[in-house]
Amino acid sequence: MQEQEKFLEELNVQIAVVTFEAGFLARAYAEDAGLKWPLLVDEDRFLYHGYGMLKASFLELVGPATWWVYLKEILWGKWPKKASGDVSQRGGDVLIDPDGVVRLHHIGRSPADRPAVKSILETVQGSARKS
Amino acid sequence: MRPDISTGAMNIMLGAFDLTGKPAVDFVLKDSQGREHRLQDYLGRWLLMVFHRHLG
Repeated sequence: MQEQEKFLEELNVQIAVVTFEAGFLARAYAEDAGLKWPLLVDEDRFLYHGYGMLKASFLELVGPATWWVYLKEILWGKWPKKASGDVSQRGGDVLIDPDGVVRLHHIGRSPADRPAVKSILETVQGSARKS
Repeated sequence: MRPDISTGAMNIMLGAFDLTGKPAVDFVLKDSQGREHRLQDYLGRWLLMVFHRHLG
């Protein structure tokens, strides 16, 4: 995502990262990751719930997609850290247009299940062409 | 402003997983530095919200 930031900025796309984890963990993550975007803390998860991002099932958590993510990390020389916190919370992505209308709503089914940045760019560019 | 606690579950029960084309869920949230962010602050620009699973 950070590599595509230039293109997203050119298209007037602001990025906000959302987490349900608060306090020290959120601050430490923002610093460690060198996050350039605001890290919004949704401790009560009302935004997660509002977008239907609830708990993942046990099978989704331990299924092949999860193992594949960890295997890729190992192959890239990055040993996965032991997961802490609520590992069952789903993630996802929501793209909102300048009028406040959702244009892309994706609920992640596994750690690697994210929309391609290309599809996000195409959504924004497609909308710009129509207007 | 604040969605009903059962909004997400209701969306799923009704099969409305996809809110594409619907108004964004309104929010007022603080960031990791304690600054307040509102959906209104972002109107006029595209906003991509990336929801993390867990940070640990």
